[in-house]
Amino acid sequence: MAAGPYNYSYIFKYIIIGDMGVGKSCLLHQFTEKKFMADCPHTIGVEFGTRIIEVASQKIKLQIWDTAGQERFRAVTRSYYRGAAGALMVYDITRRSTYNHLSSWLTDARNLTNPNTVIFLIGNKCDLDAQRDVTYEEAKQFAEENGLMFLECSAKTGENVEDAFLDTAKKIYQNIQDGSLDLNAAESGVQHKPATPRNPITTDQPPNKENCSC
Amino acid sequence: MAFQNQVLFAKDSVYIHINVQDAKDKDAHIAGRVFFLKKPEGYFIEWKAEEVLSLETQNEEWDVIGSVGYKNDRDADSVTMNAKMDARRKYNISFDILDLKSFKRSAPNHGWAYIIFILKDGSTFPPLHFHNGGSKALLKELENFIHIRRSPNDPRLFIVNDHDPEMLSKSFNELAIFSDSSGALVQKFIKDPYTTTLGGFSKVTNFLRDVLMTPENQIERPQSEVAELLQDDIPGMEISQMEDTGFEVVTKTKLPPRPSVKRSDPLTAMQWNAFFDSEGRITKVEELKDIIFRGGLDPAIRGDVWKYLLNFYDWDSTSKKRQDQRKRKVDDYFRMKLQWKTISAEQERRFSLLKERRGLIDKDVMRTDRTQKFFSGDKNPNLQVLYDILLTYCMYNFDLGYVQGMSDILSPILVVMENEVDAFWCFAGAMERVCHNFEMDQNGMKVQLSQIHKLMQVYDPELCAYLESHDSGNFYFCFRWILIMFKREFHFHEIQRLWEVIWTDRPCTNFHLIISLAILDTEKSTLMENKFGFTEILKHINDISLSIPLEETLCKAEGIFLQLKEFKKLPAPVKEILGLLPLPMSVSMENSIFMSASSHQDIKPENGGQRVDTPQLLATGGGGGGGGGATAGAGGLSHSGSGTQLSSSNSGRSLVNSNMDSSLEILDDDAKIFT
Repeated sequence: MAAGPYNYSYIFKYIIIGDMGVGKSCLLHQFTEKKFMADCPHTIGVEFGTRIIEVASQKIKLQIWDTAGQERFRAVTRSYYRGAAGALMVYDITRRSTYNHLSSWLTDARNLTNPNTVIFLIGNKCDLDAQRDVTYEEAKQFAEENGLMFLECSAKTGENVEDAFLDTAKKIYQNIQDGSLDLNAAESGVQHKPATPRNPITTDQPPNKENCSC
Repeated sequence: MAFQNQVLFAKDSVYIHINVQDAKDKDAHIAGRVFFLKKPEGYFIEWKAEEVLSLETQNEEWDVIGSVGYKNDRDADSVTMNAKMDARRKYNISFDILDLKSFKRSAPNHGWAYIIFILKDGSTFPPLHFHNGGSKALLKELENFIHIRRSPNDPRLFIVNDHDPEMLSKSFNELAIFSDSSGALVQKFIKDPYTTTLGGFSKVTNFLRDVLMTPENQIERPQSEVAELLQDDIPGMEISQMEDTGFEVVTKTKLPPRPSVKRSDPLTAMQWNAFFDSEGRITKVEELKDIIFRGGLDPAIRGDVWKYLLNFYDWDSTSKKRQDQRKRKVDDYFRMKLQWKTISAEQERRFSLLKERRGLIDKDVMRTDRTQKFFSGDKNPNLQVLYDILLTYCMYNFDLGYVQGMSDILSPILVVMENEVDAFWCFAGAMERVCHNFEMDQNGMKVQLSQIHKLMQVYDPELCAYLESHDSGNFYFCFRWILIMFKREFHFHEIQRLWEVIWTDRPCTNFHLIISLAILDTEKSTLMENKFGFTEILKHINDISLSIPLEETLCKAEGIFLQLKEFKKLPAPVKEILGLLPLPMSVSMENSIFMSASSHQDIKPENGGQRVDTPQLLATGGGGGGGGGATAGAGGLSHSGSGTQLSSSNSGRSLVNSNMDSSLEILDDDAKIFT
């Protein structure tokens, strides 16, 4: 019979933000289900996704909060930032306006999370290169100037989606290891769970594809 | 193979009931199989759709051990399309039993048993319906691995006892009872001593509860009690007695007992026709609304009746007057549609606001109710109609424009109306009731969420205090319910029923807020006994969508209203919310927003013309404008063409019938400039 009360060692809270229609829910869906869902209903309020990943042979449960993008719902979505360990800030490379609004999203992300929250900039829809409205270089520069991690992704093809979510987790885990993220702080966005594996963890296990409960 | 999955239990004919418009649709129930598995990484409960299984199991070899095997009764030659498979697969359930927090069983007198599994993080799976039995056996199997106890407050709820060493320390952390800075607390106390003090006390209570309920302090429950849950018929747990536990709560808050409320059958076409006099005027409007409130409408007359409920026609209009009203509305619609249709690409380049709204609408139309047959498939022409109505609404109410959520309001209306013009005006009528939800400052939402709070304080102070002390006193977790009037919480056919009930403005103002109380009342034990916090509450409330029983909830809501109404000490602000004050002349701005004129019909019955005057507004605009003539012509065409109006002529369920096409041809020439 089971000994440990949890089957993972950490829970990381992520929040996905950005203008409406940039593909936030599709990125989440691609990450948790490995599928592109073109007609995924627009998010009202907040929706959740989860997936268990492995970083440095630690099992980490990502609890991902996917928010509504329209400006007037910000009052509500702002209440969901609290305690996020990672923030994925998304724009659409084919719509410059969504890129222009990044500074305002970034302000929210900085003000409403703790200083150690890892902010990852995602330029979505990179499969639509022909309609590109924002160059990779300028976004890269914006990211560097603001100390953000950055990738261009495609929720449709899945390109780089896995990396964006995993790199964020690695960075958070690194922050825990080097002590810059204090787990005892009230809103670190990380919960440590005393996982006691019931069976030896095997290395030839397939990825935890069925642990999505969104 | 070294790491095979061992099947400890499996059972066929376990169904998930999904969202489909037609309950008779064979796709309404997805057949599947439930498994209890021992995997290398732990013990899992899984459910897979039959069709998915039939392909997947070919590659997997599962050892069937234990006494319960399963029959291979799959249809070998069942061919499934990929898309359908994907749709099915998304319902697949798989969770480690270590994540299991609790589960809810069906009431014993429910036809077949179902189980709802709820995880520690608040995730709540759709009910698994055991059409051929087996729920008992599954739970029995599960019982070998986890400790289960029954909730003392909700006989359907079972909690998994969790031997988690963290629990106690967590409880002690919560001993920081007044975590607010003392300065702020004093401020709050001065402003509202009652709530602040009780809020503080509630934290004490919750702390005590947490400590008392930790496993360390848990007295081992007698074996017989656990055995009880393994019986299909739980003795002494009839529905009526379940309500007795409700009475206990009632006694605590000194509300009168909740009367039992019955719902009736929908209004039929025959009944409906009998309400008209010789001039086509509806007699006995109040009686009619009572029937609609009590049972809703037969789908066959829904389109007709909604026109009255949504202010398309006046209740006291004659057939003659309605003909005129409709003609005017057709003209007005096409005039407004022409306004945006005739904006050239050149113009639009310097009209960024319009361009932006087009973009927003375009995006949302593509993802609104696409699983409904009416909107499914590539290039479905009904999507264009959704788009046109929403953009025309921007011309009708330019200050509001397009806000996410509006397409959710329009979609069921369009499906019922099956006509662009009728759907537009009914949508405008529906928006009249909820437009405050969408305004930029979100004040309408804030007011309603705080009204739920006020109602909850009176109805159930215990639950209210619990929510407050778990960062949920703002009731943001009800945001989606209120914004789009429960659109995403109920199945598509149910939402039509719910809305027509709400649109009768019975039995009180803001009945939708009481419906929220009713749903929360049903979830109370789950929220409190699982000790859900901010995140889990939000997640659980999100996840119960599409599994809330509509008729039961309506009965409960009406019962709660009657309790409040009979409560002698009902505070004035609550009376105000429910429209129970004699004449709210000096209503504060805050509450007046939602006391739409229509909702005072209990006080001043038969006063037809008091709703916001959309038709009149339009009438004045109808004749004016240089382009009006041409539009009126086009509109007239459409009017005569679609005179038969409703479902009798709904061939193919596409709205773009030939009449509509011809009327739009004129417009489309203009439109080509910028498409």
